[in-house]
Amino acid sequence: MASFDTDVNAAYGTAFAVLTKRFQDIQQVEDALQHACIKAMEKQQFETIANVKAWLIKVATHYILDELKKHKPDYVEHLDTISPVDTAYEYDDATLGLIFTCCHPSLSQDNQLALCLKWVMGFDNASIARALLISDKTLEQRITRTKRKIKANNIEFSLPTQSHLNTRIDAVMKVLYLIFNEGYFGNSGQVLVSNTLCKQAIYLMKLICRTYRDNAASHALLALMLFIQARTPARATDKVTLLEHQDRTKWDRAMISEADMLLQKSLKQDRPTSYHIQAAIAGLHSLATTYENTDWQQIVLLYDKLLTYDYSTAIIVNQAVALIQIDRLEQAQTKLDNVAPLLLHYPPYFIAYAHLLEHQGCYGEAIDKLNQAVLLSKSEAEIAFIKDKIQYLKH
Amino acid sequence: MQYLCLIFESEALAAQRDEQANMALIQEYGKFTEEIEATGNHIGGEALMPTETATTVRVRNGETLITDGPFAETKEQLGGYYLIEAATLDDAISIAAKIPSAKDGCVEVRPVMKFE
Repeated sequence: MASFDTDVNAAYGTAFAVLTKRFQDIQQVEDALQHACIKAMEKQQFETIANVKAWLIKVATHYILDELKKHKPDYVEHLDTISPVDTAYEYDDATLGLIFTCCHPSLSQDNQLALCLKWVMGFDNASIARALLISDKTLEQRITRTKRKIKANNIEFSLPTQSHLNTRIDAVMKVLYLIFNEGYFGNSGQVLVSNTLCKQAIYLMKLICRTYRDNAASHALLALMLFIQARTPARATDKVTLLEHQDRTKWDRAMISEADMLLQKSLKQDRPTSYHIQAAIAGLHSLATTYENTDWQQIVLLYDKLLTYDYSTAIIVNQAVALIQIDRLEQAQTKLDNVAPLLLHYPPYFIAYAHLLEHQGCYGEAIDKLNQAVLLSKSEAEIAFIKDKIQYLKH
Repeated sequence: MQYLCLIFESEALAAQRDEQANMALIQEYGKFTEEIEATGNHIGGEALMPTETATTVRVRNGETLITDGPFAETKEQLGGYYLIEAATLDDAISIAAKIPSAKDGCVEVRPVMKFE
């Protein structure tokens, strides 16, 4: 039964996408899919369902048509002409349309994220609430409110027209970027969930790149994701493994080459976006044979460039770490001191500062900073890493 | 699908506009209205007198209460509206973005409720 539940969960998102595209009514589709899932469970006791996706779509469609026949007989005649959807292309097309709906710029980014996780990626409310650091009740209220807004404004479950694409695609990319980051760097602490987030974000970005071949930013974002995802085999599952300590022979070289090709191609198309700069930084790490051999000089410059797009204190911290690598310790210290008041609750800031103190030979003070980071961190994987580091400095 | 575009603008800033700037703005609005009439998106629209002319009316326990001024003091004030017909919210947003006051004020887009 367990594997069957997984099948249904995996199929639910696609079925939801296909059915909302067809009927444009969330409530109707949710009711029909609930009915179809119960039917599937009943049937499953006697025989296997070969293609759960197609089966759910078929049963839910019949359910909706039956309902409509009772209430709106004229409408149904028009719907009867719809051909069954069962090709991978049509599934992908519907899924892509659904992401655009979830990420409509008239919805707040928090709500876009919640809808994407729920409808496109098929997570249950409890997991989503945990990832977004809100209560189950708040999440439910948000989803209810957002559904009402979609319905009231007649936001369509389909791809935007070409003339609206530019105003729509940025929000989609930003949400997939956030989902990927949460998966790779996030605090959710559950390895399985994190992996799913990264893989799904990459899958959806590939879909976008295939559909909108001329959009340079999306190719750069996919390159960024692939450069980072390629390091996964070199990470421990129970604690944060810094780049410095990763066994680079375990990196996925094929994935890195793919990312590199995408980035090169995207640089020819358009003026660079912040995704281009971030991908270029990730690329320099991926192409370096060792941590020490990394082109830190270039990375420091790229961080300067990145700050002109998006001034973020987290970027300053990363830049300071790069400066430490090329022994520009004073400059690193000035940068960290400047942002200190804004980052009193940000563990990576204290870890970076400890790194600086270690390079200055002040091990005691470095340990103090790390202890502060332990108190602030909410991630078990991060805490495990910091404690190791403290042990190392004590010897 | 009908949407109401509510146009908000700072009356304080508007008061600082000279005659020439006002004429230019009125012409811009005239051009915009003609455009959406031509495309069939225009249903209606008016500019409003400033909020100092507003009266707010409430009925409580059968008694009519009248207050001088708008219902709320805000940084930007409702100065006019367009009622438009648009196929999708995307289209409505594109039209709202072309309303001249969107450049210094803002436009709130609201779907019109339908009763079946």
